[in-house]
Amino acid sequence: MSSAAAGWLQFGLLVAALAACYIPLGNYIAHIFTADKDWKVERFVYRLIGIDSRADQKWSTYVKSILAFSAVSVLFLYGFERLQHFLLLSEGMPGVPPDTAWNTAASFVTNTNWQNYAGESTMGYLTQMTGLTVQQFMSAAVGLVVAIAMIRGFTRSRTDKLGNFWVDVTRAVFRLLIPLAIVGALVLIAGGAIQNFHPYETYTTLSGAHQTIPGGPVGSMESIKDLGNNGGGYFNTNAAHPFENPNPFTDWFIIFFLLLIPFATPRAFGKMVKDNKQGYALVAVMAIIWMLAVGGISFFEAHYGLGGATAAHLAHGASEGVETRFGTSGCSLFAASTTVTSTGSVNCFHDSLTPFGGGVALFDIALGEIAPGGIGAGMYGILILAIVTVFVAGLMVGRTPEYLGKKIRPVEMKYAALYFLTLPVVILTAAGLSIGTHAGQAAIFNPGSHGLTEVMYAFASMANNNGSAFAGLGSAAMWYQTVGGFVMLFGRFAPELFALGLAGSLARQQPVPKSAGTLDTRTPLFVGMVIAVVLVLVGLTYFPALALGPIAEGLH
Amino acid sequence: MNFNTDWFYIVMTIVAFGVLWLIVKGVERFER
Repeated sequence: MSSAAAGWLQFGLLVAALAACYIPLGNYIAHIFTADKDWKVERFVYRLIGIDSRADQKWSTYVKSILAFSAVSVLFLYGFERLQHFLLLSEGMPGVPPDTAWNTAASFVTNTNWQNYAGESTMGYLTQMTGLTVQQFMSAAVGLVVAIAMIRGFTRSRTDKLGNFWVDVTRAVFRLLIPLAIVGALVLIAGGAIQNFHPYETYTTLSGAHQTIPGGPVGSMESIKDLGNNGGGYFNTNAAHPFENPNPFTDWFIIFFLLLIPFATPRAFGKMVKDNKQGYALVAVMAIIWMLAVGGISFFEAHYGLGGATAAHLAHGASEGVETRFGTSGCSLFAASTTVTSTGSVNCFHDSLTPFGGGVALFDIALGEIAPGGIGAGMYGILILAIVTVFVAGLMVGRTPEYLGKKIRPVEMKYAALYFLTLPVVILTAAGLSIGTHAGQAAIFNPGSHGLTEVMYAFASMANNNGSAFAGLGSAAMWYQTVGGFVMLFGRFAPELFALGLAGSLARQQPVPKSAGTLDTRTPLFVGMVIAVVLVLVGLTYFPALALGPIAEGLH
Repeated sequence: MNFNTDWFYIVMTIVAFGVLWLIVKGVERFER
């Protein structure tokens, strides 16, 4: 079978599997957050942390709970890494240096999983398993519950309560993430991913060199890494490592797993607002943008240098940095899927993508996690985009700016504007400072357009909590560790803060009945309008940087 | 001066979450 045919088959099976899971998983997610009864284990957790599960919180209390939980998580994980040499199963690893430990703590608590270290030579088994992996569950749950609280802004009226953060996050972990992660881990381990606590073993190769073979609880981490759109791999080469991603089946499964919850969440939204067609409209926006991303990267990677570059011609596409087990098409599908979600795991080297292919990956990240986005983050991101679209459309065609029976007033638009301005401000400020200061310049190893792309990609990836790297940038320098930590924390929590403020504002409203002036938000026209708003909003914001980076490099 | 210390990063954590906390308080005030 040719590489292109294998790519199409993989893509077709992926679409079919995601479509099959859309309704049952989406319905189940809605059920989790609307069910009255708590599980026994959940009641035990509530008693342990001393919360009243029936006490709903207003939006600001919900946000403060997230911030308090995350601040403690950062400090706890930081301490864990610093003290790992005193703990069990450290495999002889010393304590992680302070700057790397802080960057990593901020990274895993924010669902980013940007990694300035090689896992197999920096983190012991216990740190990987109970430090990093636990945060992969918790940060994913935090993202999901923000989306649920946002949906409640539409379903509730004349109240300032959006639910209880502690209840939501407990349910997300026990009812959704743990069961699915166990299934995923079993599939990956059955597929060949390793899962052990063996000490590292050193062998002598045929040429007489010594090679150290690491072990570790890899399958269990790989599962939640993708299911929770985390992306932080056990090994430095992430999903290109055969112990993490042994064969084309596990490769396909990983892509399926990282798209699974984000693509099912619009169904949960439709179910909760009691109008499934609203969910179909938003999932259509997500699917179209994802397909455009897959098509874009696949096209540029497959047609690189045909007639000019012999190696690329023989390999049916750009082959540098591509894992030969998965090929160019496997790399393209993975790269597009990991950058339109906030996952950031990789099975090929993104710095080696063609200039335009890499430009599409950067653009995907700049979209801000909406197609389908990170777990939960995609949902609240696209809901705010839908609100902006309704407002813009209302101005253009004289319709009343309202969405799902809630008026879009100046106060809601202020929250939406703050939400969308946060990320460009964070990304462009950090990139500008890095390019304009000696500390930042010292770690930029590639000159010209490619160097600019690497800096832009790094901060876009960190701020959008993606975590994939373009590499070629000395991001382990203290400047990037520290600035990057701030970028990840603000890129994660500031937009969530404004999203929940917007949800609180919507929840306080009295719903308005539909009228002749109401824009129907379930039609293909609305889907097209949301896509146009997404592309114009992101395109205009990042066009100068994209023009000087990947576009200039590609044209040159 | 060596900034790569535990105290520096503990303070950075407090500063980052402190600023976010202040933004929440500011938005609450704006709402009222």
